[in-house]
Amino acid sequence: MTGIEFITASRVDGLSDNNLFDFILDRVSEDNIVVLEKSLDPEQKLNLIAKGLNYIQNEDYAGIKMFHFSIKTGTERRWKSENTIQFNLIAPGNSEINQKREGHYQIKTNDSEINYSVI
Amino acid sequence: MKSLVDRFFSKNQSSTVCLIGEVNTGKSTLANRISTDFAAQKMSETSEVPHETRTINKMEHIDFKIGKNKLDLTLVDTPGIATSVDYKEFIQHGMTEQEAYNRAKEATSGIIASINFLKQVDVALVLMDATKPPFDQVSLTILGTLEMHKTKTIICANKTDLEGANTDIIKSSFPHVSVVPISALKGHGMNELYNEIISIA
Repeated sequence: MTGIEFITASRVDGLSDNNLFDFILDRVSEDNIVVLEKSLDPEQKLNLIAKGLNYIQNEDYAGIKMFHFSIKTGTERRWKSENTIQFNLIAPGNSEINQKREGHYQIKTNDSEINYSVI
Repeated sequence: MKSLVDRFFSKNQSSTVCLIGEVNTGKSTLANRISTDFAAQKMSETSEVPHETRTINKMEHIDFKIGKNKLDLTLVDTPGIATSVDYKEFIQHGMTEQEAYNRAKEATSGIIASINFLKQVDVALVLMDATKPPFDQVSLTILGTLEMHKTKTIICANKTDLEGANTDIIKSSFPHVSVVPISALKGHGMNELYNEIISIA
């Protein structure tokens, strides 16, 4: 059964890229979905894809699926403040990720269909 | 005197042009189109089966002449980049389980080679399938990485011969990158692409 784990930015702050990728891929290769509250730059994403493809050489593991999204939070008319939080959703390679509407996602895996909302 | 001025201002240099993009966007078809136009020979196998190109193919010293400008071109066709390779997909194309598993392993190595090669090209031709929305994470990640490395980039909005192709959405999505609509299969838009290559290389 696929699980879903939300990882806050503070939990992975200070990890090197390699350690961060291992942290993510350990979970995804066990058929879990990771929602990472952290922005990855394009080169980090490519390196994660490359490492993800090579992570485990067995017949059932097929790399990763990745989906980047951001949501606006903290809008207060009084202060006119608005923050954008970046997220990366990383799922097993054989899953399907569909955005239903802003902040709402449907993730289909081998054995589960998960509706996930970050708002 | 005129010929001296022409020679001084004309381009005559070497450049590595790399075709890169998602799987099945037509990279090898475009590579063959360019190599046939300038070197009278094909350089890659093409197929409907995904991940047909699993190694990096290079053709060196292509005499790329456009008007008075000339490039000593190295053309590089790369395996399509994907975030995942599922061997079961190849079984659906008629392969045995063992063949499919081997092909998936080769495809995986090819993708990793493409990712590593991406950081060392002079000019990147990023292939996109114009019949699909241009917001795939792979294309966005490729374009972002090229931008980080300040690599000269042209987006080839390919498959304009197919119904449903929409190059306007690609142009409006990436206004800071040169977008050239082409059909590598039919040869449409190739002169525009060649002019663009010579102007930025």
